[in-house]
Amino acid sequence: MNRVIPALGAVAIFSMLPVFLGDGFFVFFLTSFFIFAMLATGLQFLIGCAGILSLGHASFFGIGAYCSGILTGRYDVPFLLALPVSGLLAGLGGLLMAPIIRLREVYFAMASFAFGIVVNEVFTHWKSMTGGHDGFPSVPFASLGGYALDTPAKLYYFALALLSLQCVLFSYLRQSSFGRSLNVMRQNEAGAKSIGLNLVALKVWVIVITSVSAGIAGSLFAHLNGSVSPQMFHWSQSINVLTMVVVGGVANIAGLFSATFVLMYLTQYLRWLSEYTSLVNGIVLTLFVVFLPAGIGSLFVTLRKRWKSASKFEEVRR
Amino acid sequence: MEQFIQLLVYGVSIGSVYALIALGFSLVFQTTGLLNFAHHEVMMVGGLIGYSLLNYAGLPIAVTILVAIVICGAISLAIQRYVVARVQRNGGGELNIVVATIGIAIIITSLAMLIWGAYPLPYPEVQRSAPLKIGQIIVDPKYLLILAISLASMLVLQVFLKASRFGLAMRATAADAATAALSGIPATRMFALAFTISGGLAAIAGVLVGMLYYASFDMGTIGLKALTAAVIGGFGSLPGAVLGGLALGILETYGTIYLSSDFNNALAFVMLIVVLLIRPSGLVGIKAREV
Repeated sequence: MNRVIPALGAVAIFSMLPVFLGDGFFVFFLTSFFIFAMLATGLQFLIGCAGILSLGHASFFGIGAYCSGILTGRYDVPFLLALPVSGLLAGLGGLLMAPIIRLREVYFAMASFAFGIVVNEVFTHWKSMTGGHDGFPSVPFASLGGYALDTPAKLYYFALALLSLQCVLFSYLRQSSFGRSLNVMRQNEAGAKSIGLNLVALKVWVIVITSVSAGIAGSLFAHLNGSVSPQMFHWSQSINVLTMVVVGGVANIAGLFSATFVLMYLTQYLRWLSEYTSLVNGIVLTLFVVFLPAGIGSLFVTLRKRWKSASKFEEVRR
Repeated sequence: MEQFIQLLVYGVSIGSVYALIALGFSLVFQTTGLLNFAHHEVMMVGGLIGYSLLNYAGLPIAVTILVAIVICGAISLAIQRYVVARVQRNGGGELNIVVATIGIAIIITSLAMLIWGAYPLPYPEVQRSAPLKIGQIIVDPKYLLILAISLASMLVLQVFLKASRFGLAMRATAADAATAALSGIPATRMFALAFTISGGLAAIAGVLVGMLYYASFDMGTIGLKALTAAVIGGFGSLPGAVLGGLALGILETYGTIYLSSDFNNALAFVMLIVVLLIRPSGLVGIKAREV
């Protein structure tokens, strides 16, 4: 219960915001924040719960974005069909990684990195389908049935709803038997095998699930931007998302979202910083891995524990 | 046929540079069990320093390479000392180190872009001489020079590893760090040594890549291809790194001419995935599977 109330509060606050902010750029920015938060939640689950380091997460994001953009823009498929299809296609992409998944951690990291580069080369060079280097320019507005989400605020609510849904799903997964098995696997592979867990199946499932979520986020991203191009899904994008997860911490969703927000805000709003954006990203990433590997989220947890023990102390004194 | 042989010379020459970079990746992996994801960016720094020394200071190529070796060796040592070792001390595993070195790689790249700018910097012609003609085959002597330098560097590395006490100590640590430590070989020193040597190799390779193409802040991608070469050969195996580098160089050269240059960049990474699928131990054979 003590996690549900703050979460509901956050959703309530965020759903009030467009009322005050109107349809300005900030709402657009918040929508893209939701989308990247979805992407980061998936990667956080992959790293934090399953202990799998993927350096190619943006490729699934890209597959979803291209799929949804091309389906709706070129073939007039309704958005409500294109959205799940792009999730499925990204999931299929994740399934392509399945044969590599049995490799040792570092090898998988390299293979996923290579996978990201290859997927991006396909985006760049499959010109007849993707529009090549310039990208696919005409992605229509998302629409629910006949109702077009043609302003940032309308898409904002849809993205917020999907993000909340995804958070619920992932926190359910974390405490389901699937999530617990992943936890055991991350901490001790031999032990997990000895109690009869099928590690390959677990790993394949977790890759596919997180790819589907990245693909759905990608679909939203395509409709938010109105176009897709290979640069958006360059491998550095995978590293950006990884930075969000490392800074936010692998175990705490509040930490992850604050890190995602701050990092995106820095790159979007501090123009004088724009020349140094990647430098700042690199420094932040390195500092966190070296000095605070558990991320901001761990600070939240310690603070809450301190606060709790302090209030207990007060009770005892009374 | 002439073209075929000509291309082979180019392929071997480019491949030997890949091999040098791959050796750095593999040497660190063999000794410390770690993937240094900043290695290719150290190579990039070597290339840019080489550009500055050749272009502004007008130093001869040999001195340029030596200075670059010292600087890049120091950078690589600093990465080991101040980042990798610290992450390990804080209980970080190999994945934390991958992420930490990615962070370093981003820092190095962005600093290089701020210092040297975003445009490719062509080297001044190091050896201006007429193309060599052997029968019908015409070869730019630049490629032969590059081949000679990288072969010489590999030879020096080989002699160091096989004939010197330090080399022996390093191989002992690579084989079994705990047992080596029992006989008085400090593992941390050996780790630092492996990083330093890999930095030196990266410097040589950087200057050679600069001679081949140009130097720029984003030439690290060439080094990433060399990482795939190292894995293709068998990650952690030094002969494997050389073999993988040569194979990649030759395949890429023929692929560009006989197939299409569109997928030149993807080729290395497709090869990486295919090799990991079929034979994760690489051409030479190192254990890679776990599950």
